[in-house]
Amino acid sequence: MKFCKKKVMPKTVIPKQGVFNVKIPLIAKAVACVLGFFLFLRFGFPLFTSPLPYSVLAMYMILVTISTLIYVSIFEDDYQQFFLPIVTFIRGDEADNSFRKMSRIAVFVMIPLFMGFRTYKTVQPNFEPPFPPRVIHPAPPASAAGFVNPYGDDEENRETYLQEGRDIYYRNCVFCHGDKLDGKGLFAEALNVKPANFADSTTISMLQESFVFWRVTTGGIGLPDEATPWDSAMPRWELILSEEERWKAVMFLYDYTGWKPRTWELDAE
Amino acid sequence: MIENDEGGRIIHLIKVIKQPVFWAVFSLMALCLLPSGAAFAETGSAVSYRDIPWIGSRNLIWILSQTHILFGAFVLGVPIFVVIVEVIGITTGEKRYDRLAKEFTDLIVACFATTATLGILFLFALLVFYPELMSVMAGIFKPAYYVYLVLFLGETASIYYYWSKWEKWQNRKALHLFWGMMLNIFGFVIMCLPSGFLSFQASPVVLNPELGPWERAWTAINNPTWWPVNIHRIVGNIVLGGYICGAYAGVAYLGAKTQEEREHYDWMGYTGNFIGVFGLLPMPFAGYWLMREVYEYNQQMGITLMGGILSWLFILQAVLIGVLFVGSNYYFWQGIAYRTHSAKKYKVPILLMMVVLVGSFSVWLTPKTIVASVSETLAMGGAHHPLVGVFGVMSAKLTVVNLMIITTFICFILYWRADKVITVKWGKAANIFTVLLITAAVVVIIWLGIYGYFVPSVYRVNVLSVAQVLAVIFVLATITPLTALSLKSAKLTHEMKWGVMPKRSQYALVINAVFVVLTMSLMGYARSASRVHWHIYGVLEDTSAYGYTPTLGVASFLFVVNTIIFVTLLGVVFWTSHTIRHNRFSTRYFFLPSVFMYLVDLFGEHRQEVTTDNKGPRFVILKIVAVVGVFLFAFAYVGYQVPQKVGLPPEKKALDLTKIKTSADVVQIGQEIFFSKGQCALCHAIGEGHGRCPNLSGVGARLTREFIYEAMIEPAAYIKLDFDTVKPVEYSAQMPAINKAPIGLSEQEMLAVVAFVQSNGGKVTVMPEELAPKPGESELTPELLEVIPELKPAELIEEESEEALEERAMMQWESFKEKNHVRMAEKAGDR
Repeated sequence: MKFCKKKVMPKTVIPKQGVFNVKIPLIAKAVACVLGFFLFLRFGFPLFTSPLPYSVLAMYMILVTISTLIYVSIFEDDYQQFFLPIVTFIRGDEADNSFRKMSRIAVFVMIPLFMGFRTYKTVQPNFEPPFPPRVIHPAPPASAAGFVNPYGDDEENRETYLQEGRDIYYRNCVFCHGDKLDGKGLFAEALNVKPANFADSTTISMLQESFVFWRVTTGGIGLPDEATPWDSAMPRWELILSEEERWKAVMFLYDYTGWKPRTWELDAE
Repeated sequence: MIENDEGGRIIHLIKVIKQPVFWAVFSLMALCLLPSGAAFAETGSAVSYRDIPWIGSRNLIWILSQTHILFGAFVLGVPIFVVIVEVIGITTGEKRYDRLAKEFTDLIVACFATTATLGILFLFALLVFYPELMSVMAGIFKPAYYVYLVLFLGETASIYYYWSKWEKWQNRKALHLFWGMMLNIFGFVIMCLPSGFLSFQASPVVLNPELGPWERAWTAINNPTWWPVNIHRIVGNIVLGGYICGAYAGVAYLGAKTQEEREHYDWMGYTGNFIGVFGLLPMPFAGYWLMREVYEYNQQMGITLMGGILSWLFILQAVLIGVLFVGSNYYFWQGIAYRTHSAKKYKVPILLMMVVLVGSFSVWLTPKTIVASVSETLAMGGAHHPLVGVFGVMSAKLTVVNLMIITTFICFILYWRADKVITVKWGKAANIFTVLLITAAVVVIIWLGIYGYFVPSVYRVNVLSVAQVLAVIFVLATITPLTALSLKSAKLTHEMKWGVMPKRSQYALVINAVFVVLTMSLMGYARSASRVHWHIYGVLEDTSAYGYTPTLGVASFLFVVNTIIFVTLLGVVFWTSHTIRHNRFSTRYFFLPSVFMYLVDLFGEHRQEVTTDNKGPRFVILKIVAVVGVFLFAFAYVGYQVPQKVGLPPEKKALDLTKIKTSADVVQIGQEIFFSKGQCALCHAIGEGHGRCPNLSGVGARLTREFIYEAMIEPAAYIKLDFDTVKPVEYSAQMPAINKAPIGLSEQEMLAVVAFVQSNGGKVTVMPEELAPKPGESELTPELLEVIPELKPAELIEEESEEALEERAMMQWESFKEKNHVRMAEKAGDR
């Protein structure tokens, strides 16, 4: 997005002896910049990745608009070039002709009409469920901080535990979290809040073992109030698996993906 | 001359006192104080909380404390650079620096009384509305209050000397500077002391009842987050002071009547903005240290702040910080465009800097979990966008914030070098070196940022982020002296033109100051809200009706309210006491008298006299108010756009003995006590954690049940140094007896904790039956009495001999146990 701006924003005054011998007004350049960004983000972006949600698109567009306004107001000549035509248009001057008068009236009529239209769109009933904004890593209850992996130090039997963990995973978790632990299990498509993708660098690698254990143990229902509306379909595994089994499964998650559980201290070595 | 003025003022004051309006206002104020006086009379009663209708006691405290702290920050922050400006004035011999320093000091003096007044109001409100909390705090910090009083006297004396002797000691600068230093020393200590109180609330340490009052106060103040908070606050104070001075100059510039005034205030605004930016640069590092200590102290608190309910607060903070960076640079750019002669050639560099800054800002703002409708979520294939979701994590954020700092620095260097021709021989080499170094730093920062995605978090946090910061500091520390050296003998092609800045640049100064105030309100709230439903984290619970975390919309609204109150008060203080309006009222009378005089003058015969030289730029003020209002409204609007969720305290679970059937249940109860009532987790970590006392990881395997129990009731009986680590560690914290006040666990609770400790690596030998009291023993808790109605003492007494009584009790006990076993068996069968 940075590079696009360079093209459309004014760099220097375009020489008058150019091909078309016309100077593009600054306002036109600014509008072209904002519009170009919008078209790129709205239609260009989805060509090579998922479309941007409205909230992000709006945020970027606000930033682009504000920065355009900031840029045209830094230098006096730009400032005059940009705002003088606007002021003249609104205020009118000697050179006012009927066309400019009409377009002024049209603009002033369109503004309230546009507002009315926006209001209509907002209050119009729709069938989209409301946005489910939520806290992705809620703080676990105090007692959850005390979970310690009983097998953490047992290097000798580590392989055995991992084998057992693997079996537990493929018997219980695979249906949602997928056979590659990438959150693309058989059921995943039907779920909203998608199952976590453990292979991603921003899931379990950012969390401590005890946190992951807590999430496995209490499942979707155990999430604190602040994390709702949370539609996580994750079962409460403490009713199904023993504590030992859950720990082994957690160990397997880390071992298979190659991530290390988050710690707060660098190891001495 | 001064004497005359003084005499005039005193006569004026007497005239004012004779006015009936004065007495009307005065008695109104006194009436307002009466209800709180009544409340003081009953402070000794058992009331824990009082409320105030409509506004709510918590909101009142919130507003009072925040405005007090903002004023305090201003009063303590400004002296730091006032002394520096004065020293610059002495070394360069330029009078304008001295004048600037004096003018800054005028601002401090004007705000001094207001700060104190707000502080007293805040204290009154706390005593009235939170008597229990205040008695607990006073019990701990009483000796510190005396120290505070002495410090306050010292601070007042030094500000008085520093300000009032400015003209008189023009030829005795050393003495004058001495008082300036004293002012800063007193100011720093006076900031640190209450920091101790509030950081104790967030990260308390266990206080052994055997400690003497002084030792106890010191132990409490010297808690794990005390120093990080101090450093964070002092840097923040400088930022606030700089920006507020800039805004003051901006307002004065807008209302200035002569070109000379404009030149002066233009330069003052530039200096203020520069100081603010200068303070802003180390801010992320100070914040980073504080967060680290918070995590170290209590992970859960860290997660609450950064990942839990308050994480959206940091999105709001990101908005504010971004606006600050852009606003400060906007002012710098306009400085280049208007003050320098060769402005035109900077068009392209400024465009580039803006693109980098706004690009970084957009990454800085992009959240990891994107607010999206269901169809949008489906289109993204999850709550994270495959491309921009990458920007949502710490690695990207730290990278762009460092880039923003570097860009701001480049902007400053360009500004510095404008209209100067470097004449030294090595000038060209220095230029090349500068460009290469900055390029290298940028490449390294970006590369470390990308690399951060592929390494464990701990490595990223402790190594890569630190390396990024060091790269930035290295650039700052190398290029600044290099540029200074090469510019020393540079030829000036054009003098910088002061006093020609456009109005919008001055509005930018005002908005920057407003956003610093908003940011401080927000971060003050974040620090306070991290305690969630505790007054003192893990020790004293907030059981009032306000013991919950409000939604971010409500919080944002209060930030805005606080900002409006602070900015308005500041405006009133500057207006009534000083130069924005006229010099009529001396700041020597401080704030309240001058407000009185102003009010009275509105009706009095002096009105004409006072307002002659004062056709104040009313329109300008209205316009400033409107612009500030628009920005504040926009912020509040954003605050309501993020998820609105109230954080309620966890539900209280009564100890239900009927549910204790297995050792695992006992362990669970013990775990809950360990992390709450028992306060064990304040010091003891399980797994990794701070080193204030022995880590209890795997301790069940090493210690016997008796040892654990003894360690709890008589901690000093056998002090075990941590022989499991390489070196024996002696711990700083003194452990109190757990079965005595203030923690005072009951026998059953002690046993449950023992069970929990045993479960860490060992076999639990505490049996569920042990938690029930033996018959005949009177340790029947109310809960138990409900569970075992047969055991009610009242029913046992009637005309029975001792033996019969005991026998019956035994029988009842047996039957109770049997019933319990049957129930247990039934439950087991169910499974």
